[in-house]
Amino acid sequence: MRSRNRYLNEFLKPVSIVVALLLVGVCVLFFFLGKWQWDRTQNILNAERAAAAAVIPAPDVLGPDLDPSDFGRTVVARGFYDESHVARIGNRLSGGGDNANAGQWIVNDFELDTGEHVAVLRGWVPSDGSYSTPSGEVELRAIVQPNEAFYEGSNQRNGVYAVIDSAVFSSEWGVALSDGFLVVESEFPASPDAPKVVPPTIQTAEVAFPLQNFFYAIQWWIFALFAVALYVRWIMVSGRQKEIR
Amino acid sequence: MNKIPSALLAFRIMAWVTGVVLASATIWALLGYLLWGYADDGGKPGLYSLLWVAHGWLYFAYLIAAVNLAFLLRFPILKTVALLLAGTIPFASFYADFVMHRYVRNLPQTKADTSQ
Repeated sequence: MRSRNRYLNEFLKPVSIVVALLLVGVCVLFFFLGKWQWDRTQNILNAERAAAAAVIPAPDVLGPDLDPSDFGRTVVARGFYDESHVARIGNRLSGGGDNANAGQWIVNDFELDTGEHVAVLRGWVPSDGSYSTPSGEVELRAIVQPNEAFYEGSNQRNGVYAVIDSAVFSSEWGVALSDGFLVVESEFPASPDAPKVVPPTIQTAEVAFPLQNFFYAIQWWIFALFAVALYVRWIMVSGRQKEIR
Repeated sequence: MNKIPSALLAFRIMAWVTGVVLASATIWALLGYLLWGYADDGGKPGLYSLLWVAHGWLYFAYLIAAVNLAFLLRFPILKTVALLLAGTIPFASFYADFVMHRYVRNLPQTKADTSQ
């Protein structure tokens, strides 16, 4: 009982009450500083996600070295398919589970109206099945993907490829293709017998996480807790010193 | 058992580590904003942000070391707060280290301890 009174007396001293009021002010201030950094973290993330989700012209992202942060981005590309430059990718399924159909993917050289070339995955067809290619100018809405080249070496067998690798197609077709490839989402004008559109492997573009703001938010809140702990310890130490004297 | 020398050593290490990181980050920020266009969005390198994040966490370790020392030395609250804030002001922690080192060295208690 005596020791509780000792701490209570220490706590009720005018100087302790002033410090306690200051402490409350500091905690409120630190809470809102933390919340401000937390909101900034969310705002930056939202802005980055919105920017990543926006459809942009393909020439803005295509080139000899794709930026990994562009994987999964939706782009628009205007140009022509070169029907003499086609690759079939073997052992690709359409659909899943019991309804999966074995077949091939059709990858076509696409020349943009800016003059650049890019490999475009048009979609799935049954093995050695036929499809149509638009001969005039087409506008593609497509998703940027990295090369599928998981291993080195030749991946061609009887004119059918195992993976999509723009470097292999570049030398095969004699054109300088952009790094990576595009997966068609839609073609305009749509051709009547186009390959069946397939979903991209990488669905969303990754955005940089604002680590600095996130940690600042947490640190402000930790500092507020620390201030409370400091105050409690100060009361206890002062109370104990009283008794020693 | 006298805990003050080890508490002082912990504080001195943290004062220097936090101080060096804060001083480098401050100089980098000054150069960055004045000369290298860091005011533009996305102009800052990752290591720069990381340095500030590192200072935040190191400052937390500094706080613990400083509070520990301040309590052992029975510092009044305002003196304690001043010691804690020294870790947030560029170059102030070096001065805090100098002051604390001198203060502890001149304590009669520590003098007696080191003479044994």
